[in-house]
Amino acid sequence: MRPALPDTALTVAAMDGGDREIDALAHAWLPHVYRWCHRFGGPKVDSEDAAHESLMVMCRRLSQVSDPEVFPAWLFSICKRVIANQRRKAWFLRWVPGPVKERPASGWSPLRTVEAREQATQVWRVLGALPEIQREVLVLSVLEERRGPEVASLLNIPLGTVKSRLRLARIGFKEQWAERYGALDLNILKEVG
Amino acid sequence: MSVDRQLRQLPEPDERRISHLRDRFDQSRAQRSTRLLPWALVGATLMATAAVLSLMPEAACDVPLRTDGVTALAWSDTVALSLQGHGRAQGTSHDLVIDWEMGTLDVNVVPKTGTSVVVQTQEGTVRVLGTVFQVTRDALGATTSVSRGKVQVDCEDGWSVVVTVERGPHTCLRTGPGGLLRRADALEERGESSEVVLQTLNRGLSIADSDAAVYGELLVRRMQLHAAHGPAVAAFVDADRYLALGQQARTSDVLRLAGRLALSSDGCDRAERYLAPLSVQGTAEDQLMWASCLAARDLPAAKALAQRALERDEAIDANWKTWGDNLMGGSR
Repeated sequence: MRPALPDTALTVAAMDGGDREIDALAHAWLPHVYRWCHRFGGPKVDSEDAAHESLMVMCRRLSQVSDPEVFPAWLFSICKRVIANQRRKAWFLRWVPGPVKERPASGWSPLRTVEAREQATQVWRVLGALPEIQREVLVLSVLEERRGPEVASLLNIPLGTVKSRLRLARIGFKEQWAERYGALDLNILKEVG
Repeated sequence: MSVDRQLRQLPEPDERRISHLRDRFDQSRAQRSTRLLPWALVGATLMATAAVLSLMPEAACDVPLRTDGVTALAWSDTVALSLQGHGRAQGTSHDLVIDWEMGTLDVNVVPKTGTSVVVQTQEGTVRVLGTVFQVTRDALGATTSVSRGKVQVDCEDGWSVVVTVERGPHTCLRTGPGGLLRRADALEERGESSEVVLQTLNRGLSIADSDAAVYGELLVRRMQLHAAHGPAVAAFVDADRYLALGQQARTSDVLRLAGRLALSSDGCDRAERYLAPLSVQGTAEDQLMWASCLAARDLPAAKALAQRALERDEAIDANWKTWGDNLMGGSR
């Protein structure tokens, strides 16, 4: 189980306080923001850069948050925007003449086996093919191991919607996998058997 | 559950980078605070000038560093080096990468100037977070200590730490089999316990290719360690493993040490397999030792071997020389 999200009291203190309280809030959320950037960014986005930018945006715009209860969802949406921008930037840079600095994303160690990398690439491809609203529920529930109410709070949607999106996401993932690689169920059957 | 299992094949986030991100965030926030000073207008003008200048690319330097004595080097207005040893510096005034090969390197970076300095060694990478620090690379590994501020140290063996004045120094251990062999030697010279040296040798053996010469050398060192500190049986196992490799470099040494150890602990039966081959390729002393075993079952052969040994112009331990002379008796 992932660590619980930081307490709302920190958000309240930061909204009422100065730089020190804002920094404390950022420090508390930093590991979560980094993990989101890693999990949603994929191999083409430098998760540390994305997390840093997200946190700086958070510090600059915190005054826009009116209700501390919606802060998690607000911060999560900042991350999503930053990641989308970085993806666009990465795509755009491919067309800019001149040397492009290759930057491997964090967590992609050269020590990983080729097979593991290939499998991970396949999973990223299938995840990327899902609608964003399904992908974010799937990642937060499965990889972040967040409970339904937490996911609902982060996405600012009702709990029932989380459940239905998660169900559709699992079905979508299976279908996409079968369409592309066709071996998901066979592998599982072998493991179970 | 099948979907969950597939998803978990994605790589986990690198938790070590969280502390790096935290430092980076703190630096960015600190820089922001300084911009809020009353002379912000002046600062803004300077920043605009700097921005224009930054658009003009600064030529990167590539400088070999090599000095026997301690030498000071002002790399730029924000980076000062003091070095004794050798390596290579590449980069611009505010973005420097040093490949440090051997010796001691002191680095002084003016904090909060946006200067990036990275010191790379074979064992790890030191990232500057605005500080004064020292990197020493020797047989033990690469040791980083900090005089002011802090640095991020990422070791090749997987450890990642932030080193400060209070938390340090930190040594990135040598990771390759050759490096671990040198580390084991350095540990032994420093008088570390045989267990510590043994652990290092075992790590080297676990990653070395068994066809490589370094694998054989690690086996020999471990055999020597077992011969000195016990158990003897472990020394024989390593000796046999070395001989089975078919490497020639240390065969005589292995046969000699194992033969003497066997002779002293178990007698001739155990020693034969090591001493017998030395009757041809060994020293005069090796030949006399084997002759001492041979004498019980084939006296003429033992005498012939002893005679050859005594006729060689080699220094022989006094006890063995006396034994040889006695064996030859009146024939000499």
